[in-house]
Amino acid sequence: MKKVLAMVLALCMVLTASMAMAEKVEFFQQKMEEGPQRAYAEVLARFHAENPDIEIEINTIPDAGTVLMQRISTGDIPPIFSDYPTQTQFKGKVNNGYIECLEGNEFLSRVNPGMIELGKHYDGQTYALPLSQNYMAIFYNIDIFEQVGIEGTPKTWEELIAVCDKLVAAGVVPFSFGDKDAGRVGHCFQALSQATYPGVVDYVVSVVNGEATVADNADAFRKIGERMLKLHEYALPDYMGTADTVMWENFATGKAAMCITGSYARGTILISNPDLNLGAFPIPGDVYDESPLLTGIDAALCISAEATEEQKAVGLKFLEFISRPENAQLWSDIDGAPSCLLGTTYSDPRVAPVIEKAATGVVCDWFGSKVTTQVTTELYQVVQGLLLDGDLDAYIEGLDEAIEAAAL
Amino acid sequence: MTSVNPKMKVGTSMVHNRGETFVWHSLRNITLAAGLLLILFPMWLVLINCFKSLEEASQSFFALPQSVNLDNVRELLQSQNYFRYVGNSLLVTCVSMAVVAVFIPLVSYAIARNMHRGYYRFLYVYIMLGLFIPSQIILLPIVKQMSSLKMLNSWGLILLYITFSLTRGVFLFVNYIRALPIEIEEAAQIDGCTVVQTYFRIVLHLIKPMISTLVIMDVLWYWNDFQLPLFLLNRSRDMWTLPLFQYNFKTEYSFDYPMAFTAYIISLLPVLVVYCCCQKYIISGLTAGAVKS
Amino acid sequence: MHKKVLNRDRASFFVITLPALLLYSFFYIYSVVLGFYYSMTDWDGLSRKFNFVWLENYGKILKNKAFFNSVTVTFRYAILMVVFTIVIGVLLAVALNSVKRFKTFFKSVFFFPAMISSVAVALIWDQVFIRALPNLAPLFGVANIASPLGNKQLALYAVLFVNLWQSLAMPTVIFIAGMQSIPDELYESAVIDGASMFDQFRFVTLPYLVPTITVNAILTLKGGITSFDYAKALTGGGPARSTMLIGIKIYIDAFGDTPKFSIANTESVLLFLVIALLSIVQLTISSRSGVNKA
Repeated sequence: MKKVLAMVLALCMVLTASMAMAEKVEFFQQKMEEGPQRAYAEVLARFHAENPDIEIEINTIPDAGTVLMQRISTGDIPPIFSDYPTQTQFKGKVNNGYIECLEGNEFLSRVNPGMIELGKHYDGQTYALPLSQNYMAIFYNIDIFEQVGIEGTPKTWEELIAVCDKLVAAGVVPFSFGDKDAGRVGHCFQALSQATYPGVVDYVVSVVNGEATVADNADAFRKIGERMLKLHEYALPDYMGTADTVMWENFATGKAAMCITGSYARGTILISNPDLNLGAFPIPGDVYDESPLLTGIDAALCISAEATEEQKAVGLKFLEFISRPENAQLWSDIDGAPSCLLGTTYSDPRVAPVIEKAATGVVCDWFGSKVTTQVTTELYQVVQGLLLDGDLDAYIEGLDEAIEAAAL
Repeated sequence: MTSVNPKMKVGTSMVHNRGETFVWHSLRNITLAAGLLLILFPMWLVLINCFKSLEEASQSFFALPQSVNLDNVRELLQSQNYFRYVGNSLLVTCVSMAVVAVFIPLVSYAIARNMHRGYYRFLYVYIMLGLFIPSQIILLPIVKQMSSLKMLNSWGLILLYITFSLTRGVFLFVNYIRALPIEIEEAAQIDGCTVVQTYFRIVLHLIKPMISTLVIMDVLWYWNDFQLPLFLLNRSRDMWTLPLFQYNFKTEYSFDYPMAFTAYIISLLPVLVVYCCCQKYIISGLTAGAVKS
Repeated sequence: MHKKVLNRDRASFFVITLPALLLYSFFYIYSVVLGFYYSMTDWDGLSRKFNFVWLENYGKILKNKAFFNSVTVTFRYAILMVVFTIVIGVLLAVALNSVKRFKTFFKSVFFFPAMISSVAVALIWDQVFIRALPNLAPLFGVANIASPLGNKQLALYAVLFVNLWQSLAMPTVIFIAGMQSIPDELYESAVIDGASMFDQFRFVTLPYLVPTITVNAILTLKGGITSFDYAKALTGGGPARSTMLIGIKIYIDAFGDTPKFSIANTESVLLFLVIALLSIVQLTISSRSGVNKA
């Protein structure tokens, strides 16, 4: 009897001790949209069921990128956080030793090797676990296309324009644009410019380095600008005053047949109209085989190099957990973006044209992987200016000035 | 140039022109009506739409809701930690205010009554420097400092509010107190009152109007501030104040705008209640102090 | 004995000011000094090491076009804000002061915007611009009213409008207070002299309001130059930089994806110099004119 009592007592002590030990570990999650928030919450619930002694708390805050940067520069880094490993800003964090290297962890082998390659740091090592892929595409309303009698999806620029004309002839507005935020204009510009002129980022890099000017290569950039303007001829009115959410809403409710946006919007579009027959195809250039699909790593998880050993252990455990195929599948199903992990399937056949294109390997990354955010932000402003006044000469001049201004 | 001499300009008629009065009154009434419309119309839109479902709102944005539908409110109160945020906001606002209301007038009193001494003159100018410094310059250093002091929490925020309130507070009070007659205080001191006794027995009563002005201005600031809480209280949702909760809806419910409107309304609610009860005192309180500054 | 009391009082006064001095030095001045210091380094906000570069950043910024674009935008914004605040504020104050019926009602409605946080105000107006304007179009018999926030020429005015919507209340209250301190006899004798309403305003009200106008002008000017939240929430500086106020630029440089903290601090220091200079000029001018009651 005494023995049992002693054992119960000891057990109680161990339990209380371990409960006192179970400090909450913060997971700083950068995406505010409903889809990813729910996806992480579901996976975390499963994680807690398997590890009742560990408590991870998700922290999502407005202006997450800014807040994360401020926390790092003030030495208050969240132990686990999500980030974008292909961007130069992330590489800056790695270079300064803020992020734990993940090499040697078994779970990395569960990731699509192409995505590992894409997310590697300059030193060839992996610092973040890629969870999902993003892509820029033309999302379209399959029902409208069928009603108007458009078969298949356009593969070249000429075909796209033919589709637009056909839609206009049928009394349908082809495009919904939302150009109020320079960032959205910029995403469209990034995708269209790379599809039109695959070498555009490298050229911008050479301009940043002072080896060339945009004016030297005016024809190529003019062509991009002309195409931006051309597409806006087919747009719903007041696109400059339209915010992204309204753009998605207009498209989702059938006011326009197409919408150029990122995979991140897919979930939101479907929330707005769950019955929408939503398809997607890559943004076409002149020749199908040569115009790359803009795709990158959308969500990736990493661990602070300055976390305590216990926090790091918890972090690794969580990364291992979320990278298991069944959990990755769950996450991807809720979030709505294709997973980076092997053994998962992307269930939606209507996005096949994009997935096929991605499989050909003719892909490109976001501008942010090669130039700083200052440069891209400045470029966005100039492109937004082009949409406002349609002045191509000012736009060419503006691009050079913008890159110079960003060099501060 | 603009010296006051009402007799300088002599009108042509002795009797007040009725037509002119009429024109003036109609102009005035039109101005006021337009202002009223401009202020109330957006609030009205927000209010009626928070009782609608998304479908109903997109069909008829301007119409009255078909029924008083409290689903949005219910969902928000269930899914979000609303009362926690109200509690956090209350804590930060009340504690900061209590300290500031006692502390700033006292400091200003010390400065105002000793302006002939070098130290106090220096202190005054030193604190007044803050009038010229844009807030952006201190944002990062201050967060860095708070972080190294392990004060990234409500108490750190309160401490910063107290400090940052000094400039405006001292500016308002020092001038106000200096204009008060010093004789009564001198008499009290001869009767054996200490400085603190003199302050609480005499000075405090004289500066009451100014204190109410300070309290109102600062409470509005603490309650509505967004930037400092964003940078100091970002480690967990449990620490959020109401403005963070409001801003959150910009992205989280970007689609479901009736929901976002509901969030705005319910976060305005505490202020609204206080304002409706005490608007008379609030406005007259502000006026009282403002005359002298 | 008297001497003793005096010493005791001096000590109490000193002790009272001590916490203020310490708090202010430790949390405010220290940060400001640090800010000045960073403006002379090449710290990006992220790296663990940085160098002292003296005035290099200042040279860079003074050659930067984007900075001067922001300066221009900011000055246009601040000046318009001062003008509108003074003109509309005085008019509103006169109107509110002369109303007989529903005086409290009017005052409380006009003061209401001051109660709401700037974030909420910006978000509400953002929705009004997006949702309400297109729906208002049929009323005016046009197909569509575009949101002014998407228009390069109008965006700044739209932001200014929202800013004024909220910030007008406080100056108006101060004007009302200022008007209540004008002796009634002045109006009475003006009426006897047959002064028209406008003359009364021009020759009695206005001169007495000069000190109040100065106070409001200084506060509004500073508010306008450092304005940040409305433009941040409504336009984020766009479209095409047309609302890139210096406050937003500093914020983006300091906390953006690729921070350049030292540059942001240099911009803040320049801003500080401008504000200090303007305040001194303004004080000098206003101390020479108007009725000085203080």
